[in-house]
Amino acid sequence: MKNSVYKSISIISLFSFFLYSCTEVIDIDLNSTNPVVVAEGYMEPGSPASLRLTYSTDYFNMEEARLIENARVILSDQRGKSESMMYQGDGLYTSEQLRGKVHNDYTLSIEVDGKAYSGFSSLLPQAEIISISYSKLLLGDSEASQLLGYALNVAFQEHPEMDVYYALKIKKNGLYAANTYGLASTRANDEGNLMYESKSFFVSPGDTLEIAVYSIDFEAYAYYSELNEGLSGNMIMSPAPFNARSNLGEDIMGYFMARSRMDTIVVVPTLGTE
Amino acid sequence: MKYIEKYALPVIMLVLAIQLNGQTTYTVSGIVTDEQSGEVLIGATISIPGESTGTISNSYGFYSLTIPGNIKSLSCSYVGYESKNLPLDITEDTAMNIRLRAQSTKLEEVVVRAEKSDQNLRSTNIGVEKLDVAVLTKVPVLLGEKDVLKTLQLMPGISTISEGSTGFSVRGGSVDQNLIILDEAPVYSASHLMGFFSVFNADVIKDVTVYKGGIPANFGGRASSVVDIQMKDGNNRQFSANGGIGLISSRLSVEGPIVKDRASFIVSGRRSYADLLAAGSGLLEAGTSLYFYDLNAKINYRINEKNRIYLSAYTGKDDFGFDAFGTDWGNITGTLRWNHLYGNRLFSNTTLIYSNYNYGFNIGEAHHMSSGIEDFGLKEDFTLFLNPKNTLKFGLSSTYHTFNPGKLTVSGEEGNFETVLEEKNALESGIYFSNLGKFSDRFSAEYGMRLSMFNQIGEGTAYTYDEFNKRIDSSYYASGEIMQTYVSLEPRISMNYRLSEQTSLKVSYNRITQYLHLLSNSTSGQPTDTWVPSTKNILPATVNQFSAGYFRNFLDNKMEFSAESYYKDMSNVTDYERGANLLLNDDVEASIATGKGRSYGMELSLKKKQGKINGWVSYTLARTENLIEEISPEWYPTTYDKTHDLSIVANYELTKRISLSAAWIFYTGNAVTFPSGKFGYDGHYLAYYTGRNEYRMPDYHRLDINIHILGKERKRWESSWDISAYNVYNRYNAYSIYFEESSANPGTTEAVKLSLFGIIPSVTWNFKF
Repeated sequence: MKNSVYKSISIISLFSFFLYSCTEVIDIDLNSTNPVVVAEGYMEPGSPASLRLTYSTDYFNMEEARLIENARVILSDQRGKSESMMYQGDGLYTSEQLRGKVHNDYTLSIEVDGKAYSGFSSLLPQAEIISISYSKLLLGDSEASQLLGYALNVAFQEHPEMDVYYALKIKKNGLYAANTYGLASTRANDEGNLMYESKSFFVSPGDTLEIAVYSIDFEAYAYYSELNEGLSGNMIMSPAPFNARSNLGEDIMGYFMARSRMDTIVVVPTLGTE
Repeated sequence: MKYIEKYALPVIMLVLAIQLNGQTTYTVSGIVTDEQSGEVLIGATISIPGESTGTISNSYGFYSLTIPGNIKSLSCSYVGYESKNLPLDITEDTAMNIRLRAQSTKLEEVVVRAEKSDQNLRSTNIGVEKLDVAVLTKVPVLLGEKDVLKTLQLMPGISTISEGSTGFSVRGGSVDQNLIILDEAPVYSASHLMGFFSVFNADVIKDVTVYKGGIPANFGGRASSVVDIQMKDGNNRQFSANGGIGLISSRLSVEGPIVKDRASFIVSGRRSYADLLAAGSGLLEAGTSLYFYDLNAKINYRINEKNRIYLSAYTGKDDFGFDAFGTDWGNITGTLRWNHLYGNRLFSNTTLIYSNYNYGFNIGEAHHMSSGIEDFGLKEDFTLFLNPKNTLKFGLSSTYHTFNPGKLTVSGEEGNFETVLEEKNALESGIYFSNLGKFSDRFSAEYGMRLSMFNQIGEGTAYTYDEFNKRIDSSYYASGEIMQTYVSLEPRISMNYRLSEQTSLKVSYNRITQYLHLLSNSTSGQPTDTWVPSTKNILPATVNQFSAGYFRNFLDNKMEFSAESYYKDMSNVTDYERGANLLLNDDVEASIATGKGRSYGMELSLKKKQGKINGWVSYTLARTENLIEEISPEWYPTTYDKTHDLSIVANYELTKRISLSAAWIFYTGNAVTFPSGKFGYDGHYLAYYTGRNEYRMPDYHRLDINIHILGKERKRWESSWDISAYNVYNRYNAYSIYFEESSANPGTTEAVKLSLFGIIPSVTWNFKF
């Protein structure tokens, strides 16, 4: 709801601007900086860890990111087990012995170009969806209302004994429904359940929804929240842009994330009379 | 008060008598007014001819001068008015009201005013800009709307924060660091139409003074500047009306006596009509609203020679909606003032103040959001004209603030849902004294102290947050209970040393603590911005400002030059942590990062006040930086940082009836954050940033022109036309730059410049009768 209010305010602000405004593609000189290491690492239940290492590129550069092939990568868990992850090509490193186990904590250490980075993440249990529902989004008062669509509501079972958060990637009819990640925080609804409500897209009866839910810890949730800021585009009233904070340290982009995934597919049913 | 009259004044008189070496002295006091309208004149100079002894009328036109009994005349002068010599033969304290006649020759109308031809050299004022309302009729502005705040942005040290905006930064300060007061009531959101027009109707404004530095002790609460706007009192001799019809709005003011020479009123209204025109032409659908209005009203009543009361009010609103979306916001202010004279040297002003700012947003009738702030205030100010060498000011003030940070109501078939952020209350108080001392013919100083105090008051809950901004503790406070207290001692001093008849050197220091903060994600200042108080987690900001200036007049004071430099050291300046959500966020306090700030610069100003060609050139070289660890480990420029800011304003009186004016503005682009690289993550391409505000928007410049044509002179009727063009050479300056995937070459990114205004012509017809 807050997002939609924000958007509406922005629309109104922009409406007045665009009475006179115009846009033009321009050339702009952006700094050519030293590339930074980019890490994308995952640990999922029953699977070996994976990590892809690349370098960042200049902003307008169209070339593929340069791969990092000579990194030293160590994965360990809270019980002291560790192993060196092997390079598989295409910037990808994987573990062999260590496989993801729920309730374990994992630490990933990387050494690249003489610099060391280290990140920690907890593997939490798979989400339990209690219900999937849809709520009408109307524009206008009750008599002359216009149906914008339906918001998707997903309720999760809360785990009072642990801090668990959820990130959702949703495809609608085969395409990602939004550019950003859906997130559910520990703020429970009236029934004591965690609730996700789609804010950036609507669904309609007959839509096929492929819902992937990742159980993540708070730090990963915060990372996705910050990623969403960057993914949601430039609004005039947006805060100053920033780098999403990696859990691997300073001067590195990306994240090492332990996560449990659950998938479900639903077809939006016919929903009452409009 | 009786105590003051009975005991304190005689003691002071005794001191005074000693200071004047036993001479028999008498006090001459009264009000200086415009002969035709009865409006009091602020800053008129009353002096002994041929001597440096004198005084200046205060904000209510009152003066008091204690002089030896052998003085046989006084002179009174005010720029734009004929000077007056007043014969004296006093054997006792004397009340003498002075009426000055406005100069009738239009050609001599001043553009930038000084109270006396060399008042800029005499006064201790440094970092002070006074704007004559006459200038507003000449300076070309966007869509022909005379605008006080935009005209101020042409002064040195005052810069606009974005194209077309009334929001401004003073010496690197943020928008919320400007205290804008209308007849002493704070105006919390001074803009219409998303910031393109100010809420101040120029037709009812009598005086505008901006304090950028050397801020007197009677002002407090905002760290960077005070914009003191005084409304006209209303003509107490005869009825008159004036107004205008422009492209955006029309306005009408009516003023006149209620009881001749004792009581008068002024009422003024302004409304935009873009919605009416657009609806008539079919451009807007039925139900679309797009307008703003202002209503100013003031009455005053002179009860007797020692008592006068003023009641002034302002209300204004913006309403903007289409389809089911709607937003409205507006200010209401009210001031009740009582001037009282104790004896003939102690002038007091008691003020009751009300101010309210509210913002609302609707989606249909089901969704409503609102936020705002409401003030009730009481002020007591005294001015004691001790003797010609000392004018003492002292007083106290207290304001009760109520903050509504946000409320969202959603009505639906399943019932109503409300998100209500906790209302906050605070009491802001201050006590001050200052003295304007003339130590010699060459040296004078205004020095004083302000003690400010801020109490956050329950009912409320104070939270403690961990490093991830999660609540880890809370304390509940009952209604009326003190939740947090801050106290600050704020010394103020301005000194003037007259080097010669044409030159003076001035220095000043002031310390100000600010307890109110504006939560804003935009640089341009939007009505959605929310005011919040200092709390346990939001610390008050404090600014220490040092400034020095060299002032020189040329050509018999027809030209004024000044060079001022300043350094501001700021603590607890605020910025927002990454991804801060400012809207309807209960824990917004946790998203506010605080740190240090500094701003320094040099301001050059050259003014030609009279003659066929008049105007001014102002140039500012400045740097403003913050050091906030959560954002950057190193100093970074703020969004208000502009290296160069140049304004050239010229007015040429072509004939008695036609004048041409032009304004050319140039400034360095704002500091801004752009990406320095990109990287892939989970199927997305993301921007990589190397530092906050390390890039610059392109330099900005434009030329505006205006032709002011007076209608034929008639006995009871005056009219004029203003034909303007904003951005004459149609330069598309960058309002913002954003990056997006190219539609021509998918997969590539391009930079897109958004420009708001090309050339915009306008025409306004003004009338007066």
